[in-house]
Amino acid sequence: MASILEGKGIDKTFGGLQALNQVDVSIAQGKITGLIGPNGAGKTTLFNVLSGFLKPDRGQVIFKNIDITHKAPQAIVHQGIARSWQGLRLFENLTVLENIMMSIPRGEKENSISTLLAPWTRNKEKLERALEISRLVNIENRVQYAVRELSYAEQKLVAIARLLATGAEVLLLDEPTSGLDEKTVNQVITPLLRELISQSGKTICLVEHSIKLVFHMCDYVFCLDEGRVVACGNPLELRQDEKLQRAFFYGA
Amino acid sequence: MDYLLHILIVALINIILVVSFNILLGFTGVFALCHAAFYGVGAYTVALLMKSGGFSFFPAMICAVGLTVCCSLVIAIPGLRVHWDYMVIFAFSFQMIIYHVMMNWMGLTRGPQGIPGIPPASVFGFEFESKPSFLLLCLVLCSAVVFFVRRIETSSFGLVLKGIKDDEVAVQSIGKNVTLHKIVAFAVAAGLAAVAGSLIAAYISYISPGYFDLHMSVFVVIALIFGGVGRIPGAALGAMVLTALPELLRFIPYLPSTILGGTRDLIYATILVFFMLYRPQGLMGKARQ
Amino acid sequence: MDLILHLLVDGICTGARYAILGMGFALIFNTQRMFDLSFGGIYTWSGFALWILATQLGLEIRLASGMALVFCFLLSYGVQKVYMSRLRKRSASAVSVMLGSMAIMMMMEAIAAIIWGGEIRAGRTGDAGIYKWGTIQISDIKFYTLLAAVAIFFSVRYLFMKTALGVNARAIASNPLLSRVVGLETEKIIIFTTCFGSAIIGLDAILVCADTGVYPAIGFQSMLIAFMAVMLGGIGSFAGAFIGGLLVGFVRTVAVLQFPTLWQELVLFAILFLIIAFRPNGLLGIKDWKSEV
Repeated sequence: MASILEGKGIDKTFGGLQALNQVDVSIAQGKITGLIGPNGAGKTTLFNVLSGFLKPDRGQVIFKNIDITHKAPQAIVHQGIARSWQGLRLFENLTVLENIMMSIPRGEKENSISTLLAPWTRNKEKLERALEISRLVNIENRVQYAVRELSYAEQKLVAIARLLATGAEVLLLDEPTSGLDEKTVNQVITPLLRELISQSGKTICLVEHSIKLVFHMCDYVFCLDEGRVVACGNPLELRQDEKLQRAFFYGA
Repeated sequence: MDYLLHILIVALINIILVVSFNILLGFTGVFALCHAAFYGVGAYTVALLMKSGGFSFFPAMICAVGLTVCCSLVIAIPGLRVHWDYMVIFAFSFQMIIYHVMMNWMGLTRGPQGIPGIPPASVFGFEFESKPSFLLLCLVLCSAVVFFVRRIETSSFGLVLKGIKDDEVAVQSIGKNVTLHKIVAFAVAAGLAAVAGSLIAAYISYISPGYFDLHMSVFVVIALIFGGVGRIPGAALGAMVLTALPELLRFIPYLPSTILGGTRDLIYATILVFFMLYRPQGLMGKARQ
Repeated sequence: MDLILHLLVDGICTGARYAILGMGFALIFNTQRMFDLSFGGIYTWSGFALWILATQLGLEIRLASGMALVFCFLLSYGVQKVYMSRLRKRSASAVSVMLGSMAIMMMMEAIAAIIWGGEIRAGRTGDAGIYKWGTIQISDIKFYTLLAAVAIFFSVRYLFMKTALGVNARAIASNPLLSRVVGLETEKIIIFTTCFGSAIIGLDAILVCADTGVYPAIGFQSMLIAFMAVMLGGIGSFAGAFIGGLLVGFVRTVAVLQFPTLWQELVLFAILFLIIAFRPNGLLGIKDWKSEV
């Protein structure tokens, strides 16, 4: 399993609290990796560090053998790592289509002048791509609506669409299924994630609370607790560990 | 009739000011209280170039735009890297610095005495000396500015600006450089304010620092909030109404001229007080989250 | 030599004045975490209140001062209850609060300008008392200002460290959301602290009115000074506001030595500009008081 994104020896402290303590994670290329743990374990903080929104006190983030620890977050997106947010952070006053269109990187035909002055509606290729992505997440019939008019479930789908639009190779998804009903999860999200791996060659890392989903979907799992990696392995191995069973896997 | 033309001309110039300010506050959500400073730099540049440098109108205007854009970078580059709260103060102190420079750099700006005797604008030999002809010039430039800003609003760049207003961090997470976008927005807004400055200098043919002080920056803010933050028609509406308001005061009988200034300020302040609480999106704006 | 000594004393006196302004604003800002500038209008009205009480109504100056101070507190309460509270509730955005409070200040100053015009109104008609030490002499007002500044500094610190109200206010300052969850009546505490801060600022207005006089625009100018004192001395630090005020006042007075009067204003703003560019948290400010992610 070639590792495409790695965090090595990551430490991060806030005020008096150590959020991450010597964390080592390795995300394998073309696979789905899971990140689980109780609330406050540091999962989102780790995502923040991997995606450049937080700089670690110590440690490195390596992407395709390049050290990206201190790069600006938007530069990291260009390199190929994109993340979604637990709080969605969509552009609520803009439409779904606008949210997706904005996230598509600048095409070859665009230069500074056209970016500044040409109406975005005229960019046929981007428009096609945006609609295609909206079809993929099953939100096509709502593209003209402002995001704040959508239901929570629909907004979550838009968040994923926006992530896909960036064209990044590695997708970090922060609780993509929380708040969604089982039907949507099973019929839309899960097949979509699988398709992204098999058809589009993406690499995915999920933070999830649903142990069931993680075991169902992930090839490899990291368990975080109080800022430390307490266990890692494939789902089958982890399931058999009794100590972990009691600590984490209630109801799995 | 002459009076009406005068109002229209000033209104058109103010429209340029408010519409360009809209790029910052309305589209991007950057509250910068220094628009009058850009206005002033533009005006003074044109005044000096035309009067002492023998420039004709358009070349002077282009230089004014260039210089004002450079000025805006002085404040944008350090100012936009810091948190919003600081940007407000930063812009405000920039406004005050520019104002004091205008007031005190006797050698260049003649301080409070201002610069009189600015020659009328002429383009290819045609002099825009009469009011109707200058009105035409204003109309053309104002339309050009509005068209330009509309194009920015509907462009990919404009979309990102609107995203920044909603959630800067999210904009970073889709791969856009927030600081760069803000700097460009600043530069464009400042350049357009310089266009307005060029017009006012050529029109009044005498400028002084008092016209480009904090008062004016606040006027622009109030006009935008009144008309509708984020919407170009709103900006234009606000500019027109607030330009006309003080003129209407003149027609009120028994209003002593000594309190004219205070009354005007009171009206502006009351508008702002009312709108901030009850209708912050302005007359034509859309309610936001 | 005498000139320098005189300037130093003058500088400290001005610094004391600015320190009072800074401390008042620091109280308001530290609790609210937002720029509520309405105290500028309250400043103007407090000054005029003293003028009316002392000269128009002929009250004895100390009594008038006390009444003006009470008026200041009540006026601030009125402004908060009628407008600012509602504004904060309706829209918690910092831009709204700043703009709205600025609008209130403008409104109050405009009304003052309409009623009383732009002339300077002084609250004291008689001669100033003078205090002397060797070659140094200062007017009684300046002396009181020095005392007031020090007294305010220590008493507010005590209040904020020891009393329940102070502790609560500090809690709100560091974590408004959590405070609300825990059950603190944030809005009430904010209102009270703001009125208290405004009263401190109003005290300076009263002193200035008695000393040199007030005019409608003075509120805005005092607001600027309070602002600079807090920005320079450090956001979120009360002691910083005190020191910031001292420094700003001192620099401004001493700047007369080097810079012609006209440039003094520019120097102050340039300092503010540079501070924000290079050290936005001020000298003693709290780092990371705003976190993004």
